Amino acid sequence: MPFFWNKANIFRVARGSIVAVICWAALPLLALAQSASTSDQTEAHIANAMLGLQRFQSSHSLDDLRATSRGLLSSFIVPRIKPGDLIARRRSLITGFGEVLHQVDLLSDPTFDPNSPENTPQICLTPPQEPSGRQLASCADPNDISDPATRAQYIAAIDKNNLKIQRRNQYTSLRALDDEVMSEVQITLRLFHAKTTGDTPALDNILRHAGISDVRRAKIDAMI
Amino acid sequence: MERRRRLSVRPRFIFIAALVGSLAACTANPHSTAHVPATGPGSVSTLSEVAQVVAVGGDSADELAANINAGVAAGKSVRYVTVKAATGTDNYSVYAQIAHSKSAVLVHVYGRTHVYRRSTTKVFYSADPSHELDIASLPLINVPTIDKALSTNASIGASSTVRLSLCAHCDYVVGYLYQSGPVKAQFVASLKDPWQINPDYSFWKSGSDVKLASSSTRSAQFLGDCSYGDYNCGGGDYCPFGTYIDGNCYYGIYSPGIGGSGPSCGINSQTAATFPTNVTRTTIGVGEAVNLASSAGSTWSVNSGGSLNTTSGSAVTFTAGDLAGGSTVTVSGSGCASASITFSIITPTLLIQRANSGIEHKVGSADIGIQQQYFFQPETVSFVNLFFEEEEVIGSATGYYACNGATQTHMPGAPLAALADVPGHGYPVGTDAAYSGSCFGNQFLDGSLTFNIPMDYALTSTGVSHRMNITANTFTSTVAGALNASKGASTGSTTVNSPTSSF
Repeated sequence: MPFFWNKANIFRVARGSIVAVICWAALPLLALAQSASTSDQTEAHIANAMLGLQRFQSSHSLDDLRATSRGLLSSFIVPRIKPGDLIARRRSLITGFGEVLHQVDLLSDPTFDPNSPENTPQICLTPPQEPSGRQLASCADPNDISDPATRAQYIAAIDKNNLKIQRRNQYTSLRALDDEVMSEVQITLRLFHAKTTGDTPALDNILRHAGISDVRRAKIDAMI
Repeated sequence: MERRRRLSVRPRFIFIAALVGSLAACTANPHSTAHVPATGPGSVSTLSEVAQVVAVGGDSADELAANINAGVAAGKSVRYVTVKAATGTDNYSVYAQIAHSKSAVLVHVYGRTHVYRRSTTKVFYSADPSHELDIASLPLINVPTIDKALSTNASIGASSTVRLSLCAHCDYVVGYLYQSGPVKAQFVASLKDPWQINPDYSFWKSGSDVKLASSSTRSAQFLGDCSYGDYNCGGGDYCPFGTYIDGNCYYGIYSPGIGGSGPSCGINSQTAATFPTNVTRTTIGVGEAVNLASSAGSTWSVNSGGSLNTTSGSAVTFTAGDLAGGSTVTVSGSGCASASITFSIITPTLLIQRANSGIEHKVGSADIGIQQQYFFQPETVSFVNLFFEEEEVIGSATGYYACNGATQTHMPGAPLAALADVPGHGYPVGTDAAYSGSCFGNQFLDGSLTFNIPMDYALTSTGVSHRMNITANTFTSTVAGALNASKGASTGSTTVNSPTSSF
């Protein structure tokens, strides 16, 4: 079919040229965007993980600290990080982990001994003896104690015991979290170590500025 | 006014559509994914890679080189295996089977095995240094003869002249006798496209040059039969690490699962809990967290019985569910064959022990109390931070103890988290006082007070609780003044007239 320079064809050719020009002009931008998206993906994931730390500041829930640490652990895919970016990404991750561990250190009470008798809660408490000589079995419902003073004494003991439970549970959860975060730091360093070594002074400096304990810093330094 | 508004909108729409369309046209690839294997090495992982990455195979080194060149010339991002040895670099099909031993990196390809000294060897996908494989994540095989030869610099396998013709940078070439020619006819695959020929992974299928050792005690252990074809164990060029089993000569003892579609993504597993000290164990407690890492894989899934914090990343955290069972986590990646790890998840059992020998008792009263400690067991997994609670229950009383009610309420406190393991006992979950109570009046009466207490565990203090058992807690008194108490296996006794004592 012969080609006519009618309006439609002129428009088609013009449109094709515009597309070609836009295509040519956009290619570097597209390549840059793709490169940037690969390069910045880890940083974006790290930033996303660190939102958990922000949530923790208001919630004070260890679950938020745990989510932050796990998010950092899963924020990267090592083979997709450009070799030139590996050191920077590792520094970002250690900065994040350092902030989490700093919070763990702040919450820790090194003087607390969960095995000492004064810190040991009871599963069941024994109610005091009532003035009548009657004494209910352990774990009794306070409402079953007829004497008000004895009941109040029993409830006070239960409240005190519940505080011990709370404190012990917090301690245990914190210890478990501590172990997990340290494990996640170790795995992160190991994954990066297969690709790039060195940078120890900078990483140690990051940990020093994070304000974590010297003992913990030494442990992490040994992993680097 | 209305007309002007419509006219002003239209050109903008056309421009945006043209921009979107042209960008799509720029990025679209007419070959699409047709040349990319759906799974295994070389399969794609990101949308940007879809149209560009191809896995390159070949039935000989020359053919592979030609295919790589053809792929590059066609504008593809080629994916193949590069082994960098001390003396130079060799390229392999993505389906080459690569394993490591104590001292060697072994590449099984073209029907023979190329051996490199592990300490001076690096393995990559393509020539890109960012695609280095963690050799430790490759399948581990047991080849003591090769390891010994590498440590003593003994000469094994193909003579040096033949070795150099087969593999320019290998330390040894061992295995099935093929010189430099193509693989056996039955293994030559049909062409798929100019740069991708179905590789030689079929060498590891049973029947011809591979068979299961009859004396093997390990499952799926493949041994190559050196007596096949035109060489023998004693004098053959390639058979120095063979061994005689049942009168047959074999080469190579490979670990289960090595056959297939190339190097495994590999999974390194590490429990979050540092006790038990074996942090790579795959038997774990309910609720236990395990960190999983893969240097090559990045897409994770779990079948059941637990959860992952995410499905993408070089590392993820697996958390066991709250019930006993099995759970398999799988990782896949763009440059490796998927790998899995299966966890066996166990629930706790409860150990109840007397905490001390003391008895709570007032002289002249039919009361008795004992104190016990509870532990989660077994100690082979971690139950730290798992919660324990007794459930509220109504007990029944008779005789003497009915003075406080024929039915009595047992109302324990809040759930308790388990502490660190006490060796020989388990994970302490709490201390308990079991006390009968007492009444005024005649103390020498028959009587009993019994609570059947549900004992539960839960992953969190407010989470769903699961029953471990129902433990009987019983107190009895007799007209003779004998008093007994028991809670599970913890028991104690005294008499009404015994002196006052406490726990």
